Amino acid sequence: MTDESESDEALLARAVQGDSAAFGHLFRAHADAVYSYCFHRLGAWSTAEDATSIVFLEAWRCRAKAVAVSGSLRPWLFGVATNVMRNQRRSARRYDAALYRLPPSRAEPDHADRVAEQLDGERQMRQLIIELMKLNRGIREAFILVALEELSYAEAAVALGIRVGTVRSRVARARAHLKEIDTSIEGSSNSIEVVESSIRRSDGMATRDA
Amino acid sequence: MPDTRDLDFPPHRPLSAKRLNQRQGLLERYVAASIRSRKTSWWRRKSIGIPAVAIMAACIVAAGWGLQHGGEAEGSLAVGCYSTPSLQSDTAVFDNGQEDPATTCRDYWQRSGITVDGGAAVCLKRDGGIAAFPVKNACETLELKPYLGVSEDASRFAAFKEGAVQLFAADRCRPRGELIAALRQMLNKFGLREWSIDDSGYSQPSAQGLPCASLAIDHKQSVVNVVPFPALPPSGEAPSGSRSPTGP
Repeated sequence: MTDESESDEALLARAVQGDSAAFGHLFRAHADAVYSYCFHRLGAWSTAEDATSIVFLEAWRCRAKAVAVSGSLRPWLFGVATNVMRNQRRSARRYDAALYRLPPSRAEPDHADRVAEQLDGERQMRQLIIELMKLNRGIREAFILVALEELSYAEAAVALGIRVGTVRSRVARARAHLKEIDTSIEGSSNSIEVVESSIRRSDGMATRDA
Repeated sequence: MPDTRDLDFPPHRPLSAKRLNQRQGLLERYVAASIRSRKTSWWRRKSIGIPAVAIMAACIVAAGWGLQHGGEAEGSLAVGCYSTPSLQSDTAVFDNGQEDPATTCRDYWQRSGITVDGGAAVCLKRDGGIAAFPVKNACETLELKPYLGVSEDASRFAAFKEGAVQLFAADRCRPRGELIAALRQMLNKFGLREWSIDDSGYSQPSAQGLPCASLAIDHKQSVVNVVPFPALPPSGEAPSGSRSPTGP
C-alpha cells in the first residue's frame, strides 16, 4: 500500500524498490501541473496530454538523477518536461509503443460553451507562444516556469539547471517584451492555423484525436 | 514572483478523470514491466551474457597475440593528437612520458597547420588511451571522459619507462645479465615488483642468444620484454622523448 501523505522522494524510493503504484501516485500528484506546463509550451491540449505521459515515462528512465526541492520533485519534473519538449521527436519515438497502447481520446460530451472555451484557450495560448518564440529559448523557458507554472526562482533554477540570478534576469527580460504586446490582436486565424500545423509537424507527438 | 496580471493567459484545464486514470494505468504498467525486465536481465546475464563475454574476450586475446607478436607497448601515456573532433580523423601519436598532452599536441598542430578552435580538449578514450582534439568541447561531443591527469601508478610506470629507455639507448649490446639486473633494480625502485622480465627471445627462442637488445613492454601481462637482435642498426638511435609521432 502507498501512503497518500508520503513525500515525493519516498514515493520514488518505493517505486524503485518495485512498487509501480507508488510511481502512479507520483503521477497523480503532479500530472495536472505538468499537463499545464506542456500546454503552455505546445499550445494544444491533446498534444500536451501525450507530452505529459512522455514526461513521466522519461522521469522514470532518469529516476537516478531525480532532485527534490523541499521534498517535492515538481521542479525536477518541470526540468524533465523542458528536456522532453526540447527533444520532442526523440522522446516521442522512444515511448511510441507504450503510448499507442492507450485508447484514442474521444470527443468528450462537453457543453458547447466548454468546447468553445477550450478552443479559445488554445488560440490564446498559441498567440502567446508566437510572441514567446521571438525570445530565445532560455528566456522563454524561465518565463513560462515562473510566470505560468508559478515556480519560485529557486525552483525554476533547479528545473533549468541554471543560477537563480539568471532565472531572475531572464524572467524580467521576458516580461519587458511581453508588456509590449497588444493582447487584443484579432482576426489572425490564418497565422494561428499555420502555427498549429507547424507545431504538430515539428513536435512529433503521438496525437490520436478522434 | 513577477506580476503577470497584465498578461492574458488561458485558464487552466485539468486532465479529465478518465484520461488521468488511463494514463496512470499505462505508466504503472510500464514501470512494472521495466522492473520485471530488470529482474530477469540478471538471468540473461548469467545464462547468455557471461559465456558471450568469455568467448569475445578469448577472441580478442587470440587476435591480439596474433597481430601484435606477443604484445607491443600500449596503454602507456602515449597521446593521440587528432586533427578534427573525430576518433576517425588523422592522428599522430606521441610518447613523451608525463609531458602535458595538450602542450604536445598544440605544438604538433601548430607545426601541421591545424587550427585550434577555442582551445584543445584532452579526453580519455574507452580503452584508456589519451586523445587530444583541436576543439574545446570535443570530449562532450564524442561522449568521452575528460582527461584529468596521470594516476600515481601510471606516473611511476612512466618514470620507470623513461629510465629503461635511457638504459637501453646507452648501450644496447651490454651483457644481458647486467641489463636484466639493471632493469630489475629500476622496477624495484619504482615499486613495480609485480612486473617480470622476459628474456626468452620475444616469441623467437632461436633469437635468445643474440648480443643486442631493445625493449618492449606488455602492459596487460605486466612484462618487460627484452627483444634480441643481432647487431646495432646502421643509423643512430632515436633520442628518447622525441617529438616525432610514433605512428598513426
